[in-house]
Amino acid sequence: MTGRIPEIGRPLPRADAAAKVTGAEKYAADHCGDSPLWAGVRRAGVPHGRILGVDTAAAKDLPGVVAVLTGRDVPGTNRQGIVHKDQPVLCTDKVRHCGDAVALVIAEDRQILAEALDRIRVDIAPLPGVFGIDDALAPGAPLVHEEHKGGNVLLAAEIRKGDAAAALSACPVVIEETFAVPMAAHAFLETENGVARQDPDGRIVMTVSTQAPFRDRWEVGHALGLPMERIRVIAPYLGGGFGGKDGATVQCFLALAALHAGGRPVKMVWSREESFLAGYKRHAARLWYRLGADADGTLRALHCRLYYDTGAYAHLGGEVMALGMEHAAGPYRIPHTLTEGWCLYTNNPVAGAMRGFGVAQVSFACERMIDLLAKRLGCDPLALRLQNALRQGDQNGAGVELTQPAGVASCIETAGSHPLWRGRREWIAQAGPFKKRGVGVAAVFNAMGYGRGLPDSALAKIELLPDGRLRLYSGVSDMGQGNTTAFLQIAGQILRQEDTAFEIVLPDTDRTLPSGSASASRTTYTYGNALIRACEELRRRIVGRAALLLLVDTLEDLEILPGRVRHPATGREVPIAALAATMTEPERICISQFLMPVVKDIPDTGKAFFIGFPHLLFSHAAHVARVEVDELTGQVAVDSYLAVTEAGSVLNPQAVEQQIQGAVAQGIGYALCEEVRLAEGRILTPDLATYVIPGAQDLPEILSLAVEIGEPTGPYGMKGAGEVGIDGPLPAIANAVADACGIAITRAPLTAERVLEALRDSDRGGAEGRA
Amino acid sequence: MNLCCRINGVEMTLETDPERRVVDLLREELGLTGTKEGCGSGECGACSILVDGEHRLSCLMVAAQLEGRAVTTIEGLGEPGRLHPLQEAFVRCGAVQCGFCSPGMILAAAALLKKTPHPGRDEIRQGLSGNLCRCTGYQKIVDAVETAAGLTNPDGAPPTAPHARPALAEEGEASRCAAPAQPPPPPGGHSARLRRGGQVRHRVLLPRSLAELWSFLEEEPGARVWAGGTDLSVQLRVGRAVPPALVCLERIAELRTIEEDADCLRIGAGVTLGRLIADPRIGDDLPVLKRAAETLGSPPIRAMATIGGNICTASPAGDTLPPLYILDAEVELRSRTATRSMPIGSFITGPGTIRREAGEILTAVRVKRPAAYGLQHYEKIGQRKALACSVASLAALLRLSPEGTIEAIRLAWGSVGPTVVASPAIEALLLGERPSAAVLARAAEATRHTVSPIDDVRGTAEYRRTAAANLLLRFLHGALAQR
Repeated sequence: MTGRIPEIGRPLPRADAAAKVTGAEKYAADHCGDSPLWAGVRRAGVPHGRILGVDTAAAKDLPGVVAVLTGRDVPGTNRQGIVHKDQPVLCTDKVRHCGDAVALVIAEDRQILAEALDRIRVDIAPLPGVFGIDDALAPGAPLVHEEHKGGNVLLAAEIRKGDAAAALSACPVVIEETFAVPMAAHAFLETENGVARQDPDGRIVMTVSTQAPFRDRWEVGHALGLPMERIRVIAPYLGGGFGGKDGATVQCFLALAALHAGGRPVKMVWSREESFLAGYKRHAARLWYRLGADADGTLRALHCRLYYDTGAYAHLGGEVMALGMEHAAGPYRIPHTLTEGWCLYTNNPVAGAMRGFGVAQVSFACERMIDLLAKRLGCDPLALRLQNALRQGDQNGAGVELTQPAGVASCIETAGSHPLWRGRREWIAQAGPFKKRGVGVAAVFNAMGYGRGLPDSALAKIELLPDGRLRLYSGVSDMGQGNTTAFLQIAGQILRQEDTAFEIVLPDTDRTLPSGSASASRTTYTYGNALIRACEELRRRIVGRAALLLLVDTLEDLEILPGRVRHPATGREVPIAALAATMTEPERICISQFLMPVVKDIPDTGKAFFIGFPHLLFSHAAHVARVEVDELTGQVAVDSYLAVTEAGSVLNPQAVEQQIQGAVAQGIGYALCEEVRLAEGRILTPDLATYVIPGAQDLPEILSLAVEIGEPTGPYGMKGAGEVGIDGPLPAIANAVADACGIAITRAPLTAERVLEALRDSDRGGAEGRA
Repeated sequence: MNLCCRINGVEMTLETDPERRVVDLLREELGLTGTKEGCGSGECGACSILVDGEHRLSCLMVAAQLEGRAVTTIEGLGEPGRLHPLQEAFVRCGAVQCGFCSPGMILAAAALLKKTPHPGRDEIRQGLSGNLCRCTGYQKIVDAVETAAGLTNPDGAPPTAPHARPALAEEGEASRCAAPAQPPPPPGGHSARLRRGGQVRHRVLLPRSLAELWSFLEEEPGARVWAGGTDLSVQLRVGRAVPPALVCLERIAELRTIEEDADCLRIGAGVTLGRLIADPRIGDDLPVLKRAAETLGSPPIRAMATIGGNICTASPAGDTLPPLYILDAEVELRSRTATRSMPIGSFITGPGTIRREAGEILTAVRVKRPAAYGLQHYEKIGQRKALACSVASLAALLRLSPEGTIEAIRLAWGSVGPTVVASPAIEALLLGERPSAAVLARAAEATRHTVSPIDDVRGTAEYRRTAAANLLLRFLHGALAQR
């Protein structure tokens, strides 16, 4: 807090930064309560099997064990899931992935908990498993969910525009390729955790590291048979989320534990290994593309088939794939498209939301295809992108007419005129011995909001306190993206009060209002729009009350200043505290709802999607990566990186840079080293020593430039910038490595081993090396 | 046990389990929740604290190690109501997003600035390489540390009086403290076996001399002896090691010295890799060892881990081992009654297996100064720059004649066999040669056949084979180019 008025368009240090740097901020993990009990679950440890028995006697005998529960002790449906309720809280009949929970223990401390979990005897008869896309699709494959009508296909869908087959057969140039991207992990530093207790009146109160407190209430209520209003969820600042805390992690376990804890607080904290084992993941995918163009580079037709490995439960798998499909054609004008998608159940860990929600996967394939086309045509890859870039009024690959401003062309132009791109030949020529250099570009876009069929709504609430200070009730979690600070900025801009006059209430289902999840790059857009209306109303009320006291006839004759309202014509002032003291509570509280606008002319396709198709608003970006490849080891180093982003107008330049740099950093990890590796459903990379995320020395300086094109429906013209930055690095780096070495990059991540192998294959001549 | 230590400037006597992890002690018993836990195994740095002013990972330490020490957590940095310059810079530069890494990152930066008051951006990145951040991409964190370094005087003291409180306590400060209210614990460990949660807890013994060590070892013959704890703590956490007692060597001064005589350096087994790197004698005479040590783990890991630990762990990926092999290092083993020594290659018999007898510890490693070699070289392939287990590595010594022929050469590879791979045959193949393309190709091919790597999660045997050969190619090419 600075004692200044937060204003739109200026860099503003975060409202939460000071408390975080002093260690004072309490994350969910830091809430202990008085001598809490500890809860933990016994995981299946086998990827697919029939449960023959769960013997809890020895665990129950251990002194200090409060309760040992199995699926039979779950009072409600025992099913979690956001769209499909297919995930047991505690499995009763079969287990579908290694991380499935079969028993819950509540104990006096963590040592007792660990020993009790160890004493549980679980008898599981293994079943043949489904460990990937080919397994899932094989005729006669074992079924992950016997009762699911589509077999192992959770969702099959298509998006069709024009006649792709006919157009492709007429194209003079057709490129075809298949790409693979790995399962990835969020690896937020604060693992899934929370603390819960049952109040004397029977209500469950939980403090959880969660992106969706309001939805959690509903999910827990459904699974445990509790009325939603009997559950209160409080969401402090999160130690990272990135999508991995969008949906139940510890919530149902904690509520169940609280029901058996005699009113004592119960804590559950997943270890890092448990987080890898049982936490949600980014979908591994296989992407087959066939792209046709005219000889002059004009894109004519695209046919793609996308396969997403969604793991053992539906979670958000269908929706992730839907968004990937909607983005499969990239930010380009392609008259004829056919995008087919299969979201597949397997016995792998559960995949769900992760920053770039299905889009990070297709961006790799689409942007590699554009480079392959440029190579075939012998044209400049950046110019080819610009030539085909979507503009306002065009129809995108999903058949939606872009009624809103679309800045991808501006991003590509800005990137193209930057020295990192223009000076690339000179830089490449300076490579040292055993090094090869290359420069790659990628153009990407990412939708904002839930899309049609699931109203994207927020309810903002602002209160003038009786002492004249202001209380802002945020209904959307802040997992580090900084929406809370943006809200403060919006409120400051309208109410003209210093930041020290504001008090912020973080999401709490009792105190704040339902405003949806912290996801889909929507938080500042949707809640911000609602907040503008609420703050404007409160401003009118404050100024209106001052008009009454100062006997001024019109509100326009008054101005609101820090702590007071002034009548400039006469110089008379009245303190806001004095005004507040005369106002009743209903007068001091303003609430406003905002619903994100949706596409009006819905294309006649994508009928298989339950919710979330199509989208109206997109943020755009063009990225340039300079890489150096070590020919002896295959190691790829990103030397420098440029991200040009169009996400409407910029409310806080520092916050946008944070989002872009952070997303690019994660994207570089996705490109070079991050991969959840599995052997028959078992994780081979169960910790931060083996699941390698970039450290401070592994990342280049990341230059972030903003192209500002105001979005008319956005709060102060902004759009979400949280996700689009992660879609660019993998394709930009892959294109750069291809540029450096002339090898075909079809598989991520670009580990040293894969690159070296491709270099050797290409040295041997014949077929182009592949990585 | 009663633990006497100073926490954020306050003298404390704490009743705690001696083997309680320091991160749990701080968070759960003292409510200092600014210290975070992100992984429990030293891979993320969120639990960073300062112990006697040095960067430590509290998830890899047990409470008993704090006896007599001064601990600074994030809550002890800066003044109430006023931020430390680093904290202020983190806020202003936008270095905080989710903020979960911030306390550890700031303490890591404080430790860095204490050693290097005006670091460049690369030095900052290196200094923070033991602390992972998943939100920022590190750039604004580097900005913040640069900014704070500008605010800080060269001696590391912040410029203004309110910030002058000695947040970074000097070594030994704690021992000057007033006598604790309760009688001080006996020197070394506590003898009680605490039983809680149905598990027998470990005794933790901290002998202050070798004499004390021998009697402890007689008392607890099944004890697990450890020095830095960076491997052992991880094993304890997941229950892979359940010894009846822990004997920590970190307080035995005799083990922590580097001594030299005419042709030899004797490095105490308890010398941390951080101290090894900082010692000018190592940098001058054994740059190959220094370079290898610099690639091990991260700054806080190096501040804790010891060379003796790296040797006794006997991992095929142990970073200091290839240099020690080519330097013909001799390990020195002592028991209460005897001292013996042997070449390191005889001491290490396989992955994780060594020829140490019961009642014996590794006390030192002796290394001859390789004056006869003009060039010392080390290269390691890891999956990232820091916090990386070696996928393949090469340590090399070389002397070229004025005519450019190889007069002397020593080579050893790490992570490409059950133990370090040294090959007199390849050395012989190169000796006396003027390294032409044909000679290099022959040596590379011989390397491929000499190493015996395995597949693991970090790389396949085939990759390691190729990489081992290519590391040799780069070294020889570089050596020729330097001429």
